[in-house]
Amino acid sequence: MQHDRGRRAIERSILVTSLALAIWWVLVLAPRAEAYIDPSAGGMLVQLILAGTAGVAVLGKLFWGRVKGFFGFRVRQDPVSPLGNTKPPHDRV
Amino acid sequence: MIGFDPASFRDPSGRLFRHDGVVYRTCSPQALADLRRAIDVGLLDALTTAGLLVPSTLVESASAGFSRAEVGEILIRQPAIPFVSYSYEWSFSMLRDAALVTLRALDLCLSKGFVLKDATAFNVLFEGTAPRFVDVHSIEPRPEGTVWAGYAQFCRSFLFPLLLMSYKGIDPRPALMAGLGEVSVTEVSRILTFRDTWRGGVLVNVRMQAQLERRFAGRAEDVSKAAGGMKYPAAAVRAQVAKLVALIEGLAPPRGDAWTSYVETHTYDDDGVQAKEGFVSEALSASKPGVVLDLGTNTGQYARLARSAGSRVVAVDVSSGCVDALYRRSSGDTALCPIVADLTRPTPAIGWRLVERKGLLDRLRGDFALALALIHHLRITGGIPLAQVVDLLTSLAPSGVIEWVGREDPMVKRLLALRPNVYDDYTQDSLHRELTARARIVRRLSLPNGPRVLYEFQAARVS
Repeated sequence: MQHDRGRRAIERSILVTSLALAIWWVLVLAPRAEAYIDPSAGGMLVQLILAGTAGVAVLGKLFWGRVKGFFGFRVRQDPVSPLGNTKPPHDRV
Repeated sequence: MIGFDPASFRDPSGRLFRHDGVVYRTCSPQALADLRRAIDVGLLDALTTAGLLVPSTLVESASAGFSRAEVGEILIRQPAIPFVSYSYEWSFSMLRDAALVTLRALDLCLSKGFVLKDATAFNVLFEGTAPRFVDVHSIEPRPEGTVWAGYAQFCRSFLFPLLLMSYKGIDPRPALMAGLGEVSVTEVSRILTFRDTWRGGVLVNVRMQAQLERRFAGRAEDVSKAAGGMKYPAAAVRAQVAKLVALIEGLAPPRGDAWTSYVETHTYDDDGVQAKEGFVSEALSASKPGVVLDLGTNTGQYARLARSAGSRVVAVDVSSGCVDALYRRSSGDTALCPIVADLTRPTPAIGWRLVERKGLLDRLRGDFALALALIHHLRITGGIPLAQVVDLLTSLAPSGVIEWVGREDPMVKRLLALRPNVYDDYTQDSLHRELTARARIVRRLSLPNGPRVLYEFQAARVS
């Protein structure tokens, strides 16, 4: 019983990791964004990907935007200030 | 007029000032409401009892003697940590323990429905060798379903520098100084090799994060919108915290450097060591200093001597390996502060207008300075004229012990072996002259079997 549960946990962990890697590789094939620095986008997405299904949904949405863009639908590209939001406003002693 | 700490302007929740050895933090209405909730659910007590948070209580500003108009009605009061050091002055184990304190505090917050909104290393201060979380304003109720907003900053402030030290043997302190306590994911990703990708924590926290950062840096709004509807359970954040804890606990410290074995390989014999210890002990018990600065502490032999004489000690060394050994050996001592710094180029002031984080010389003050087996390194390796060396030492503390190390000493010979001899001022006479120009020489002792002489000095203005 204990053993089964352990195996299921391992299987689940392998599944989530493979899924995460698959999503990541799909994204690697996507075109590059402008090199504006927003410190939190990557960190946020890593966490969502690790959560499994939540990550799939979010990245699905993001990726869908790309697909629509490819077929000529309008994809919004707002300029982001290179100076803006380079650090969260909360760090202090 | 309250003199607010020049570093406390980023967080709109409150500002910080010091008064009579106590730290006070002002509270915005929202911050106060959050804090009261944290007190109600027992979070602050739990954090303090666990030794993670510096004790923090609410006081009425009027009863503490402050003007309500200036600082608001309620203040947070915390004991001041006497010596403040920054992550770019910490050794591997110090940075690791500060990281673990942050994660453990975060986990406790999550268990009670709260979160740490940021994760900079400036939120942790060392009380001696005990890391304490100090920024109570970082604790806030967790907005339901959100990922940990401090994750990326935690990586930049703690995880990345630790990975650089552990996996690459790279000293991250210059990068941390230049980056106001942070190293960027892009930078770390470039430093780590393909082989490193398969080592613990790199694939997800570095490679994946760097890649996603690059892809989505310009689409922050899209990311925020797409993730907005997600419900990320607190259990998932706690699982992520547990993984980070396991990763960081498993990191091997970097290998030691030439200095860590100095005590075993140094160039004087047991008689010399005994005489030196006796001289220093006597000087300490005669002047009973509150704060001793042990400059060039090596593995802290004399820092511990000063501790046993009842003084608080700030122990400085240029070698991160030595400071790490001293830190580990002194675990739990709340009055011994080891830091990594080079006196020939002390930690600079950094940040906004260069007042945000103070330079070392603005923080380092003592009642008694130990400069044992140090001045030959400052004069010959560092190239600092002897007069300047003595001037610095006597300006850091009004009394102390300086060890003269003559040119016949094997270590000095080694230092001079490959250098042109441009150190005319490096003589015992000039040390004597420079010292008497600034202080009174209380005692002097020539150590047996070697060209070393100890000088106990006392600044003229004090005696």
